[in-house]
Amino acid sequence: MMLAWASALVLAAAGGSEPASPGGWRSPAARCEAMAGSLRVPPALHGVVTELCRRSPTFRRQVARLADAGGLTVTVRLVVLPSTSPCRAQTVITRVDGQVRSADVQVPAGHTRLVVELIGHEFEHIVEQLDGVDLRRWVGHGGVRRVGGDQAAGPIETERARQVGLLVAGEYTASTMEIAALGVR
Amino acid sequence: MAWLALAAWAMWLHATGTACDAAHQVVRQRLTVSAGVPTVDVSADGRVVAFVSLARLAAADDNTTEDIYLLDLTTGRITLESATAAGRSAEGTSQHPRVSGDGRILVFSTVAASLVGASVEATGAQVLRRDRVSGAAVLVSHTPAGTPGNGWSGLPDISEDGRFVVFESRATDLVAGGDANGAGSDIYLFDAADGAIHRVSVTTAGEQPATGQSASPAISASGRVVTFSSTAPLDPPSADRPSDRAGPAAVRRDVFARDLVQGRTRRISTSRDRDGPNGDSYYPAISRDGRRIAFVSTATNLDDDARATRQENIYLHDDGAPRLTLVSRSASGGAADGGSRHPALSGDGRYVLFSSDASNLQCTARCGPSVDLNLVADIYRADTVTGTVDRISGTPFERGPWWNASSGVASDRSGHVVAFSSREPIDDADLDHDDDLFVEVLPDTAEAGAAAPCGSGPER
Repeated sequence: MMLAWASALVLAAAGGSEPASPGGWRSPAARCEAMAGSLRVPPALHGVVTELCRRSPTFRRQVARLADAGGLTVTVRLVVLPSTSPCRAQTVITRVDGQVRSADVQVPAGHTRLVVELIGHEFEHIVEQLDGVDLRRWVGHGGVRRVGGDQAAGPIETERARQVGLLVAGEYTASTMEIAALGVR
Repeated sequence: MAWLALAAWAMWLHATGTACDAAHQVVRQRLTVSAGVPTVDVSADGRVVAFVSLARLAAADDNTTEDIYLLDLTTGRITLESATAAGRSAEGTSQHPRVSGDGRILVFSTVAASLVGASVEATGAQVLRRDRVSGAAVLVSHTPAGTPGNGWSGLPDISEDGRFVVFESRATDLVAGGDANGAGSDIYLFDAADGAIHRVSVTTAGEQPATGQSASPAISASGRVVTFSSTAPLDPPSADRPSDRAGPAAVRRDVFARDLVQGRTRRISTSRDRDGPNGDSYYPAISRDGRRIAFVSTATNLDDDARATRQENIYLHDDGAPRLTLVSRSASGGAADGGSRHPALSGDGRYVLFSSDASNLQCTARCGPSVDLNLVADIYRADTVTGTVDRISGTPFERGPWWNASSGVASDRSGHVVAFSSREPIDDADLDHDDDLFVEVLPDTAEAGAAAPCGSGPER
């Protein structure tokens, strides 16, 4: 029996497939969609993930990183967070033997742009952990802070995740505007 | 072939771009970075970049072992350098390339028997010196009989004219007269003029201590000064050296410099007090004239103002200054909030390049702190004249944030042609989380408009 050590880190957010070409080359979007198949995403978000793969290079990078992390299970859930929660969304990350093994991403249902931003935001928190970032050490520096009043054990927020979430949402929206502009022409 | 085509495409793209684009050359490769040691080098003239790659970047490369490649920045041509006499890729790993000033002479370590000319199964890696014009390769880490040394050799550095090569070795039979510390690593100098090898990690009296090991050498342009780290008692017993007071338990790694003309060895990692450095010092880099040496230290008592905290910091020694300078300090003058490592120096020692996890190193134009938000290592260039620290890894010119780690920086003589590795995607189609090679041509700090002094700059 293997002895396993596990810890959970709570991170919070405060505040149509392209076919493979005949030559076997697949677009980044198609590769992203294929890799996103390894994520546990509720049916209600399948369309959003597909569109994100098509529109957002940053999201594609995130998905590739998550899919490439051996032994990692990423689950995305639509939840209703308590009104008293300081978080707009949150991710519970579990490590076993020092390795990131699971990430439970909880985002609220809502306007697509917000959901997109929060998924990008929370996925970046997972990537931070895959990068080996010790968030507890960074609290008070580098745009890292605790939220919710508990400065000893409260959820941790990072400016990196916030900015990347906005970047994903921006790429998603910009692409929408491009499509709309093409439609007008 | 796919990799080769992709690399050629990347070079073409930037060669035909705007002037701004051309200054940010990006070449797509899988670039491996060995633990703790940069695997990139730039020739002093800024013309060629040597690097290690797992990818097949040349038609002759028919395997996926680590090979040595050279990128000619004037032509964009990439050549396989760790090739056999038949022009094929070698069967074993090659690492740690260093090039002479004009890029003609290349040194590296390898475990490929086809390159060494003998089996290295029992000994480990050996150091080779290759003349890229004549194609001649010679074994550097050899015994007086000309056979490979009986232990691992690696981490070479080369003088600007390519004549002298320094390297680290655990072999005990490279020079006559035995090896006092046995299989403990030592520093050796190879002279291509006569093929002779000399042990460099010795005291001023020319003696090799029986204890301690020496590592990671660097050599000045002329070959006169060699710097390295060592746990051996190479300087005279002193009250400010803990190992001399408290015995082996307190032995620390220090940085030394040996002047081969004067035959003098001296400790560079000195403390500001009489207690001696309270942490290890290692990974030195040296300026052309050997007067400036940058290194990493975990000691907190090396600089005048005690600004360092217990983490890896970059210090600069200058023969003309009474004390060491803390280079990796925050923009506000205090301690950095993350570790720094792998220093490199421009030829005159004005620029110190290094990687750092810290978020608070960089000054903005008006000298306010600019927070680095990615929480992973970035490449910085400290200007010891203006006192500014600029982040090199980022989007060109605006220096917007990259969200991926960068490491292993090297520069040319001017400090303007800079190469490093990064996991940042090179384009929207790059979904591989691997290290790529980035080469940038940087302006002077003053030209970049960031010359405002930042606090009391590191220059004395």
